[in-house]
Amino acid sequence: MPDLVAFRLGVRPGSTRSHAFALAPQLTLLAVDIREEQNALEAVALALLAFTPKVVLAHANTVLLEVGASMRLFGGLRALLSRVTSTVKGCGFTSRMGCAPTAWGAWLLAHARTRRVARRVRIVKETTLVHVLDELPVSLIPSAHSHGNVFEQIGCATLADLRRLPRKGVARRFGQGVLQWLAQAYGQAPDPREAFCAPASFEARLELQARVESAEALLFAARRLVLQLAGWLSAHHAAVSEFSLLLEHELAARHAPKTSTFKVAWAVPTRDADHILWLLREKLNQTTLAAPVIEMKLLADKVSEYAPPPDTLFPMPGSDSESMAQLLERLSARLGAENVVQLVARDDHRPEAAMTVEPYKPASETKSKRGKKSPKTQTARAETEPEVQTESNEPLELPDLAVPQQPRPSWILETPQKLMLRNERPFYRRPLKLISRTERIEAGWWDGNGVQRDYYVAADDRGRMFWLYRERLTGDWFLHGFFG
Amino acid sequence: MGAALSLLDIGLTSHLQRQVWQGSPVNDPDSNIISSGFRALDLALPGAGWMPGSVTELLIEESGVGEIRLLAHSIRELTASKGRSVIFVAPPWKPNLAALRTMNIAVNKLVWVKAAEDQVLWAAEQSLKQEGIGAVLIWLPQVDAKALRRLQVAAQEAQSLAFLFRPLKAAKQSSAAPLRMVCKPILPANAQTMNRREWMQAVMLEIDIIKRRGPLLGKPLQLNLPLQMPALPEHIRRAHQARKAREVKHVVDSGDIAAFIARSRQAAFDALSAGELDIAWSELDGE
Repeated sequence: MPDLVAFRLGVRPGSTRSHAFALAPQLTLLAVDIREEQNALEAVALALLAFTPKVVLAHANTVLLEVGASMRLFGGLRALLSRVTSTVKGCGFTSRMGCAPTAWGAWLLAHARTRRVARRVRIVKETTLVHVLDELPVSLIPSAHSHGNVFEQIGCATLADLRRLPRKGVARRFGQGVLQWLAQAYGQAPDPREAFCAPASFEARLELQARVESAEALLFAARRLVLQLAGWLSAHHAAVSEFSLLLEHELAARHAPKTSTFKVAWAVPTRDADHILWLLREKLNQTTLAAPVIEMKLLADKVSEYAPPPDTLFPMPGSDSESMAQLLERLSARLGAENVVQLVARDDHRPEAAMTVEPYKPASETKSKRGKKSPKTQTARAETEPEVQTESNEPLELPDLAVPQQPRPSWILETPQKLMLRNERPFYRRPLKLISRTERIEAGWWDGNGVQRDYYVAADDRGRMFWLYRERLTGDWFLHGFFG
Repeated sequence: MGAALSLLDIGLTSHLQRQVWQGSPVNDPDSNIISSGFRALDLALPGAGWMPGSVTELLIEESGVGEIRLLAHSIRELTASKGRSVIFVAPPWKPNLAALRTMNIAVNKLVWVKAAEDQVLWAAEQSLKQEGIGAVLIWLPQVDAKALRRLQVAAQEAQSLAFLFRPLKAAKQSSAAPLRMVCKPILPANAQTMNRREWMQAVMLEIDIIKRRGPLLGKPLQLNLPLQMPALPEHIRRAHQARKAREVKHVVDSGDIAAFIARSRQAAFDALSAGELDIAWSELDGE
C-alpha cells in the first residue's frame, strides 16, 4: 500500500518491486506482518463494538459494521459515521469508509475510496446502489487477482459489463463464486456473516512507536486502549469501576524498575470513554514516570453490570445523579479524594467528635446507611429532648434529629484557638462579651480525649458572634467557632 | 403585541428566555428563582429572590458574620425540598454539621470541596457546569477581574445559584457579577440593656446592595438573623403561641420572667403616654 507521496509518483498497489523502485528510487519497502495486522484489526473492531454489536472482520483489512439498528441512537447516519471515523482515528489508524445497504456493497465502496475511483461512497437506497456499483471497475472484485487481467482482456471494465455477460459463460470461465458474489453485492442473495466476538476478559496491549517520557504523551497513547475498553464494555453490557495500566519501561538503569502499575478506581461504574480518560489524565498528571515507557497494557479489574440510565420523558434538572457523581469524581481525581467530602453525623457530645468527614459516596449507599441509623438517633432524642413534646394530640412531624438547646456555630475551628484575657474578659481582636448561659460539655473520658469545657456564645462590639469555651481544669479560654 | 410576546415566552427554553431581555427584570417571576426567605431582601433583589444564571457577590469582612444564616433558607429549600446538591468550594473553616442540621438542611446533599487557592476557580467552574446542582458557594479571597468574568460566564449557563464570598475591600474594585452586596453585622439598638438570651435572637445583619440590575437601593437593609432557628415549623409555632395566649400559664421560665418584666416596664411607659394600656397588655400576652 503506497503512501500519498509514493502514489503521486505513480506507485500503485500491485505493482512489482522493480517497477516501483524505477518510479521512486528513495522508496522504503516495509514487510507485512500478518499477525500485527490482525491484532490491529481486532483492536479496531473492539473499539467499534461501541456502535453496533455486529462487527465483522472481512476480507482484505476491512471491518464491516451493521449500523442499521444503531442509526437513531447515535443521531443519524452522518453523526454515526463521523463518530466511527473519530474512533478509528483515536485508535491511531486511518480509515476509508463506504456505506451501502449490502455488506459487499459497502466493502466495494470502501475499497473504491481507497483506490480513489469512486465519487459517491455513502449510499442508503438500494436503487442508487445498483447505479453506483455498476460504474465501479471490475478489478475491485476480491477474486480478480487470481484471474490476472482477463477481465480487461475480454473488454469487461466495470461491474456493469460483467453483469451483462451471459451467466453461463461467466460461471464456466471464472467459477460459480463470482456470480454468487455479485448477487450478494447487489442484494439479490443473502449474505450471512459471522460477527466478531469480544473476548471474555479485557486486556489490551500497545507497543509504543517511540520512547515516551511525558505523562501527557502517554495519555494520548492510552486513549487508544481506552477506546477499545469502551467498545468491549458496551459489547458486554458492562461498566468498569477500576482498571490498571501497566507500563513497561525501557531498561535505562540496572536498578530501575522494569514495569510499573497505575491503578485507577472510582465509585460509580461507567463506560464513558471520555470520563475514563479524564480520570486517567488526573492520575497521570500527579505522577512522574520512573523511566521512559515503551509498552503499555490496560486491564479492566472491576467490571460490573451496566444499568442503562433511566430515560424520563421530561428530563428534570437534579434527577441526573449519575452525572453528579461524575462531577465529584472529576473533582476528587484532581484535588484528591480526601478533599471532596461529605459531613456525616456521629453520636457524641464533643463538637469535634460529633461529625466526621467521609469521601463522597454515591447517593444510594449513604441513603441506606442513614436509614439504618435514624431510628437510633430518634430514640435518643425522645429521651433527651423534653422541649419538643407538644401538647397537641395530632401527630406532628418533628425534625428527626436531636436539636441542641444552645445554638451551634456554622463554622468550627479544627483546632481551638487559645484566647488572651484583658480586663478579665476573653479577647479576640476586640473584647468579647458573653451572651449565653453556660453549656457544659464533659465527655470522652472513655477514649482518652476527654474534654471538660464550659461553652458560651460571645459577641464583640461590632456584632460578630463567636463560640468560646473555657477549660474547666486550667481556666483558659479558647475560640472554637464562628456563627456564620 | 403583548399577547404575542407572552406566547413566545412559553415556547422558549429557559436558556433562551434568559437571553431575551424582559423589560422589567426587577419584578419578573421565574420558577427557578429561589426565595431568600426574607421579605425585605426579596423585595430588593431583582426577580424577588436569588436568581440562577448570575454570580452573587457577598462582600464580608471575614467569614462568620451571618452569611450562612442569610443563605440558610435557600439552601434548605434546595436540599430538603428540591433534593439538589449544594457545594461549598474552599470555605475558610470546617462547616459544622450540628448547626446545619438545626437549620433543617439536608446534610447528605452538601459537598465540601477543599481546594488550594489556585484550584478554587477550576472546581467552581466544574461545579457550575454540572446540571442538577442547587447552589455553589465559593470562597475566594483573591481573584482578578478576568477570572471573575469567566466565573460569571460559567454561571450564566448554569441552573444553579452561585455565591461568591469576597473580602470587604473588594467592594471598590469593579466586578462582572451582576449582584453585589456588602454584609456587615450590626449591634441591636439596645444591646447594652438587652437581655442576653434575647440578644441571640436579635442578631442583625446589615445588607447594602452596591450593584444590582435595576435602580440602586436607597438605604441598607437590616435583617434579623437569630442564632438559633426555632425547632418547630412555622405554622405549628404560630398555632402554639396562639393557644398559649389563650391559656393560663402555670409554669414560667425564670428567663421569661426577666424578659417579661423588662418589656412590660418599657411597654407600660409607652402605653401610659398613649393611653392604651389594656391593648398593650393583650399584645404582650400574645407574644
